[in-house]
Amino acid sequence: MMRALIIFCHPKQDSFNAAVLNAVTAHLDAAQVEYRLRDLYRTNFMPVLTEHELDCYLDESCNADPVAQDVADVQ
Amino acid sequence: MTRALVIAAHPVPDSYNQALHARTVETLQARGWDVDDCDLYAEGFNPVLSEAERRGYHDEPDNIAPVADYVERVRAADALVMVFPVWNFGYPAMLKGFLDRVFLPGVSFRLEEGKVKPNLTKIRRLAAVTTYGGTRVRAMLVGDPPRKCVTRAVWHVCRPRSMKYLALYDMNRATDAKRGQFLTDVGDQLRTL
Repeated sequence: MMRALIIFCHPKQDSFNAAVLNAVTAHLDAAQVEYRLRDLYRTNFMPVLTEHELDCYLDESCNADPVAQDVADVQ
Repeated sequence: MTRALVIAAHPVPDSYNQALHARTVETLQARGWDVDDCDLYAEGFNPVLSEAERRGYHDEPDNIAPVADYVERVRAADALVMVFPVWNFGYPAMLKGFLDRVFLPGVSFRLEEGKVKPNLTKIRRLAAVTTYGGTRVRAMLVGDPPRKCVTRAVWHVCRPRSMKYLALYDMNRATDAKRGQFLTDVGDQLRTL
């Protein structure tokens, strides 16, 4: 079954972008598509790649740890 | 005296990118320029444009209040040099957020009938010093966005008389000799910016 991941990124909930998001989710609901919605602003996603993250960037045993939930969502 | 704003955006102090940053600052200072060295990671810059900032985005001059110090530093500059790694064929979030939050209407541009007009024309010299993991061909295949962001978008708001985009591609396979040569090249190029 098709599963969609929606990454939403706008600080205003009453923005045009939010209206577009509503249209997308309404469409997916109508089509009975399973989806996850990740609202980067509302969940206070930290976009700054840190020194620690870069140090372990190539180490696949632990490089996903700081963003484990996001990686699970993508996968 | 020429006042240069150097904006650096790499988290690791002993990285190659920070060596490029140091070479940049040294070279410009050796020209007798007054260098404002702005290391966004070291200064703990917060790159997230907030809801309040977005709501007040077009309200000049109050829109600069959350980042007034940075706006002042940008407005003081006669030269702008950005030193950053390219990640995912774009600016690091730290630098992208700096441009989102500080390059505001009334600062970097004016909106006239919905069109962007340059407002940072005090900046007469513009340069980027950057590194890519991938090759130049791979970057071109995706349109090389950071090259265009600098040489078209930032260029447009400054309209500088001198501009240089100094890029080392294919860092994933670069040798010490190649990295060393690029450090030298950056110094040479910035002496004539």
